[in-house]
Amino acid sequence: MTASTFRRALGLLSLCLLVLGMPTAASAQDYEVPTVTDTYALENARVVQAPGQVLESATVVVRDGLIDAVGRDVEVPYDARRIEADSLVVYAGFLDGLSHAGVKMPENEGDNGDDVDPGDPPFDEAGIQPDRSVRPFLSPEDSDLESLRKAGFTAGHVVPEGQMLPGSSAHILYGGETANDMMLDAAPALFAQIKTASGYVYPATDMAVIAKFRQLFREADRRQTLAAQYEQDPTGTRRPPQDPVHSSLFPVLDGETPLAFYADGALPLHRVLTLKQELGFPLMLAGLAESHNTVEALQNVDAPLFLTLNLPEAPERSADQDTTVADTTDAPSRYYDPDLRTPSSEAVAEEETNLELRHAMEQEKYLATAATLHDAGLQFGFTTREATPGDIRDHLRTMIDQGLPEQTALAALTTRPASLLGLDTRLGTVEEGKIANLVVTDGSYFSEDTKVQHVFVDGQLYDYSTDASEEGDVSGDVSKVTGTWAYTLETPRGERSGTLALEGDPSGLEGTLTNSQGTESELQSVSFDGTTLSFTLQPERGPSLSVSVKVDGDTFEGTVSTPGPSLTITGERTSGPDGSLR
Amino acid sequence: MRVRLSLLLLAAALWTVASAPAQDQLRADAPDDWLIQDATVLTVTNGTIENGDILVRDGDIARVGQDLSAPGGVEVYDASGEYVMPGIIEAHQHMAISNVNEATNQVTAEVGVGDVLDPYDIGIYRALAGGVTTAHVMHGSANPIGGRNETIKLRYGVTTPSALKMEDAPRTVKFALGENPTGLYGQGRDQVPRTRMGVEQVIRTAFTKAQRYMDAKEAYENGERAQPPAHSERMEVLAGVLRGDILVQTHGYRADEMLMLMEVFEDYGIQDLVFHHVNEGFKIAPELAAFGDNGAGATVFSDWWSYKFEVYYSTAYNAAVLTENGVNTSINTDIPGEQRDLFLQAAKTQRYGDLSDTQALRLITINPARQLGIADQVGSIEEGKDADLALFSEHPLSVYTKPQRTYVDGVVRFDHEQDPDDMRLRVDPEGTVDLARDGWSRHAAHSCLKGVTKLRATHHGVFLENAGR
Repeated sequence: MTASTFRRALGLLSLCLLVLGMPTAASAQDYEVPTVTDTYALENARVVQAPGQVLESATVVVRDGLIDAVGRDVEVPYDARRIEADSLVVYAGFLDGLSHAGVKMPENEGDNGDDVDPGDPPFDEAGIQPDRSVRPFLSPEDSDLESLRKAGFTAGHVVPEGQMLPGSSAHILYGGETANDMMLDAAPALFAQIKTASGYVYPATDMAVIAKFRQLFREADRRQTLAAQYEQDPTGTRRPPQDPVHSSLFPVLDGETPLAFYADGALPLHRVLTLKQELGFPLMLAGLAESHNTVEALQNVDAPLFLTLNLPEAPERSADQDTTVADTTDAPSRYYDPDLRTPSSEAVAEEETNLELRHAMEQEKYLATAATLHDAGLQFGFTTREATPGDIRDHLRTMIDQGLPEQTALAALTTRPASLLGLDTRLGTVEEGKIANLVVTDGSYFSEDTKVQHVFVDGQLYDYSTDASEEGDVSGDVSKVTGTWAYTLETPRGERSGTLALEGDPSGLEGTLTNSQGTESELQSVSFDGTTLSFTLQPERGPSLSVSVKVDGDTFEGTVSTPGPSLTITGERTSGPDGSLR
Repeated sequence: MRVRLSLLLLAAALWTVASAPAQDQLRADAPDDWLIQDATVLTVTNGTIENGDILVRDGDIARVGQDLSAPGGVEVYDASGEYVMPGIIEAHQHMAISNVNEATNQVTAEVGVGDVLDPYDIGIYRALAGGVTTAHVMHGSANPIGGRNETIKLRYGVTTPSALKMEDAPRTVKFALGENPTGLYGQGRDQVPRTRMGVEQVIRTAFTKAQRYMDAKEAYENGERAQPPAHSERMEVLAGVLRGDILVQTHGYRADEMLMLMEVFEDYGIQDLVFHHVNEGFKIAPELAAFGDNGAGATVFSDWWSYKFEVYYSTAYNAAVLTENGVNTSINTDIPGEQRDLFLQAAKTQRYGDLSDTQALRLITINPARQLGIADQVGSIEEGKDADLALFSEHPLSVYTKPQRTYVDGVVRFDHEQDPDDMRLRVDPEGTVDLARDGWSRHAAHSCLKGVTKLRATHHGVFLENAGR
């Protein structure tokens, strides 16, 4: 059911092959020469190869999933799709230090019914699953991938969801048609959290989670010793105990695999650091929202850090305001009185104002956390785990306003996570030979007006240059587009055709798209400015598709942005607004 | 080689982890060298010194006497007209911790509230405002054998959790008898213990397992066993109890169950035992005093009872009866926020039992210090001890008294002259703005019984009530 609605919505595209009953993924045997190129040339762009390392009017050639060439005198290959990038900026694709993007966990897991002794639940119910991998849960359809890509993220370190030890992580590309396409590295780390079991079973408190970490580590240490002894001389020795939970901790005990902890608050951060000090495991730390309160402790620890791209919302009041207070929240520390002593209950309004200022000051500390870490000499990347993708650029701007240097922000999105994750030979800069993960913008990424125009993941183009505004602005002569059009879509497996019907007036346009199977889809957010027509198609499930074409008389040409590669679409008008045949 | 490593890991567990230098948000540069002059010094262990001086150097009491002079660099505080007593010690508290009960298993000795200390808790400052300097923060009373407790110094201002821990304080563990475990496990979950007999059985079984665990480890170390036993954090702690390294602090109200536990401990050769609450202690005071080599301790409420069926047979003379019978007795409040007037709770023993000033003050100073094994460091004003001092405007047992200043390790952590409204160390940026008029509920704050189903007796009958998590 869900699959069929998905297909219907995507019927327009290469994925419509499903509807035609043809295989979706090309297998080795029936590989055909694709009709569209996978070679691109971004010409005359400003190329930020790495923070502080800029090439003006340079060309970047993307070929076969890799950055083929970068420079001013680069020869553009014969088959390249040329993208005029005179006014564009090319950055290395951003890297996400820890997230659940592209991960879909099964529902109702770890539910063993009512037979569980709350004091001694099985490992999965206790949230102890280090033997599990995120790999089987990777899902290219996860809409987070699309929204993070639009913000510039092209790869990341993803972890399974769960409780104290949810499983091993993976480095993945934030694009591709299958989970296999997305994989970079398996099991670079074990994900860990100070998080209680999901039901009311042991460990039901943070202190029990901490005790359980000690128990697991020390017992794993014993078992590893026994296993080594047994391997040397099994005769006459009792077989060592076997279970995948303890043995999956062996690489951590050996110092080869880090525990990647997520912790935002100062207390959980301290608890993780204390645990590391006690048990001596290699650590990776993500979250850090309140790390402005733990700077000294972090300076003494050797661990890759990934700061959350989430920032707190403004606080609420517990009771209605019964007094009018001047808005002093822009510079709360100028008005806050740390020594205020309210003399009597009659002066409570004064105290309330002071409390609100204190809240505003605390808020500012969080906004300045990135700057605080930077000033303390701590190097960090970012994690998108708790961030709303659409807010990420706003939050980065806020961090920069609060004192984080722009180059450091860019480094924290590119080069630093690349080296912290051990991906720096493949990702993080715009250099020949690296994986073709690129972010192409129409200005500095950190400027408010800048838009992300294109994103490349693994050499695949995701085109956002044609994204319509959500409302659908209509201006110009609508009779240029109203009527019926026959369209042709170039897909990797050949051409697909169908019809497009548009009607309306300057107050708004609406329309229907009918594919070759006769399946109809409503157009949404239809915009027209006299030359460019754009609209989106929203499948019932999955990410939306953006279509943008330039109308020239009775023909149009443009692109369709999909979760996969962007496709070229052309069209010809078959009847005018009055229904007249052409 | 590997075996070595395992032992190292274990050794590390027993070690108090020394983490990064503690951050102090309030008193990072505050002096810990003082001359407190011209006060009435209530030493508790060595009588009272009128017009007495206390010289504090590097956070310790260097000299106690009269007409002392301040060496260079030592700040002088004129305490004329004021009273100085040792910083108050509360033997039973649940503040400054993120969790109280791991109420999933009858035996959870491996968990510890020391792992979840919360130095941001404003309750620490409120306690300081009542002259409290040390608190024994405890696991709750849901399980027959609960988790480890932590003895903390009220260094409000430090934000590194481990910096609250009192160095060298012995480790302690919580046990609980009676209705809390039988209500939670028996009535709530149809598990053992459903009765007081079951509570005894849970404790005996745990000790027997711990003994076997110790024996197996010892056999392995002596070469009599090929492999070490499966590691158990739980058994490690219980083995510590059997060895006498970890002091047991037991929640209990009724005389019969306290007698039961003393018998169990005698069977296993355990010498250290402090009972908490002990509402029926007055019935068995001689037996408590006769336990083991040093007697069993008792830490009680001044006058609070009837909140559970097992807590009806009670008297406000309890502390006095226990004291006069030679039981090492202290007074606690249990409830975060209520420890601010421990000096008045102690004074009630003068109304109910005619204890002397010194006897009454001992209930909140040296006696709880002895119960917690920290009497060599705190609990009285003696040279060489920590400079934990509480200054009052009147005699601390007077109803007219007001706390003036509280020193912890020689650092002023409360000063009523500098006591602004907003003493929070941090504020939840997304949380609601807590307003002063929001109020506070005693019931909500009563965390000792969190997660526990209990019998609640009212005029309308006896009800099962779940106190929530």
